[in-house]
Amino acid sequence: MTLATAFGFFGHALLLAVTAALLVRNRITSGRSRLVVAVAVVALAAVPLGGLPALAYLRGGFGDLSITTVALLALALVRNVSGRMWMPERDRWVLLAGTGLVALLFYPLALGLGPFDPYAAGFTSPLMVGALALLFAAALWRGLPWVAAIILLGVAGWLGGVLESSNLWDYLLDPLVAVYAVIDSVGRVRARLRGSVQTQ
Amino acid sequence: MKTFTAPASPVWRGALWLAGGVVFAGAFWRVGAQSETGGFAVSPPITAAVGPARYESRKLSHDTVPFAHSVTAIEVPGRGLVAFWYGGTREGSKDSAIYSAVFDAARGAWGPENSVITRPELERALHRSIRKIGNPVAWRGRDNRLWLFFVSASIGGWSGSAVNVMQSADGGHSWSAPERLITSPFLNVSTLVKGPAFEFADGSIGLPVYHELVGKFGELLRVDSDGRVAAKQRLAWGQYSLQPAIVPQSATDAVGFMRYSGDAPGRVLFFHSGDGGRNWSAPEKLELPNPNAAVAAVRAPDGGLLLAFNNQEGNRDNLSLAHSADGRHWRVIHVVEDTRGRTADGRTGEFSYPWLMQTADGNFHLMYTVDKQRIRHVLFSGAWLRERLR
Repeated sequence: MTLATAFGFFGHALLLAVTAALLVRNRITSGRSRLVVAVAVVALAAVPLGGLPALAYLRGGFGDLSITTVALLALALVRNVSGRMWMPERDRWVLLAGTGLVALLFYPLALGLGPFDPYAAGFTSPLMVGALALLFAAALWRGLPWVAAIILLGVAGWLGGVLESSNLWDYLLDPLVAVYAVIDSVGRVRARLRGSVQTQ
Repeated sequence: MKTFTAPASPVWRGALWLAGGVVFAGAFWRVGAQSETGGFAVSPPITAAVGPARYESRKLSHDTVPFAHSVTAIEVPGRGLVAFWYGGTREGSKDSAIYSAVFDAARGAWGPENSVITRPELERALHRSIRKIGNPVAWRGRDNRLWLFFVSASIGGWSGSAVNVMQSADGGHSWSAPERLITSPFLNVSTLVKGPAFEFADGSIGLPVYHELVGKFGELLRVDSDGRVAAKQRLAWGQYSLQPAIVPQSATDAVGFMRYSGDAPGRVLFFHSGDGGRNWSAPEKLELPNPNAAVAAVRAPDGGLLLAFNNQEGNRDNLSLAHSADGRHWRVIHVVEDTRGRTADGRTGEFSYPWLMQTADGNFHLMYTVDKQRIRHVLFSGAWLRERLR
């Protein structure tokens, strides 16, 4: 099993663990017990069913998750089982809002809406690396160290080849985090608007 | 809720700045180290046409399975002509596999077909679920290493396909474990292969591919010697072009053809590059009809081009050969198959997915699918072709 395969399975294992922990959070109040449930679900998903474990079907359907998604899932799991929120809310909001905005522009173009393919830049473009370096620096300068750290992890993962892909975009973005980011951002905006309407 | 504040401390931020410097320096070095392709790698055209005019048609596949489709072939030193295709109980069935056979030139017949990789074998190798296997494209590098690109789908139909690759260092007797090419950001779906690969001057492989999920358009991948995708170009966009076939003609020039899947009239699409593949022209319709079907092209000994295509807009019951000096203006020189209105029961044949190539002895080989059931092989010599071009 290659490093990329192992990391691919790790991402989906984390997804299952977080999902399981979230589903039982109202019934099981102990963080440790939720962790046990999460681990048990992952262990079950690793058992071969008809030749392949459930994790492999997840991987076949969804491909490997980006470093951004894996980092957010890890933080979500820590939050769920320990009650600690490692990433400040401001960093989380900026990361998800930025991810959602980029995804709304990126995916239609990458899937063929027009002649320009932004995905191609992820193979060779120094401009893309430069833009990410600027984003990293801006995030760190503006007091958003978690945003900077996640960008850095994505680029470092690309350099280390921890995923099957050789495209930098795949380390930063995937459909799962894109959908989550858009839903989360829209929800926040609506909540803010509702809140400002109520105070009037 | 408690918040872990360590990353906000000066030590952590200093560490992040330092790590950022190292990582981004590495990233800039990596993109900076990527070299230009150096243009197309093109051998002089094979003009040897010794011997009589030959035109032979024979079965290639042996009906081991009811469905066979999408043939590709390469010439392998020490083995001769080796063909690959995919087959099974039906298109997209769970028992689909990539098959291979070797042409025995002395006997003038194809040897028995062998399974190269099956769907369950691919699943186990890739550690992911696979629903079906499809279109293969074979390529031989300058180091005689063989590459077999082929598609597979884990979810949905063929529009959900991804490309896999295996390599062989022993002429196709054994193959490396397959690896997945990641070519698309959306679940890595909808990249398929059909047209032949070619070589860039730096040894990397140009692999024409196409997308057919949201739109239908041709693309070009550059695959490095490690089998990783190094670059990707969009050859068209919209809903009307598929299955590019590219023929390099010199270090700087190449022409390409695509299947047309848009509104009538259906015509073969033509595009070209004059700068070694850095840029490609927008596709334009030729006069040649196209019934939303694949075409195949190869260089002719006179420096022109040969094209195998279905010479009508309606369906695929005619397969013809045409010649051109410039890629734009064509003359049909031979009808390979034509069952229009000729079968007793009213059914017409389907002749599709042609593969056209020339071997080192100067002979040409046209292979194609018949009725999505079997593969047929037509061999014609340079002398036969010369007679047709007079």
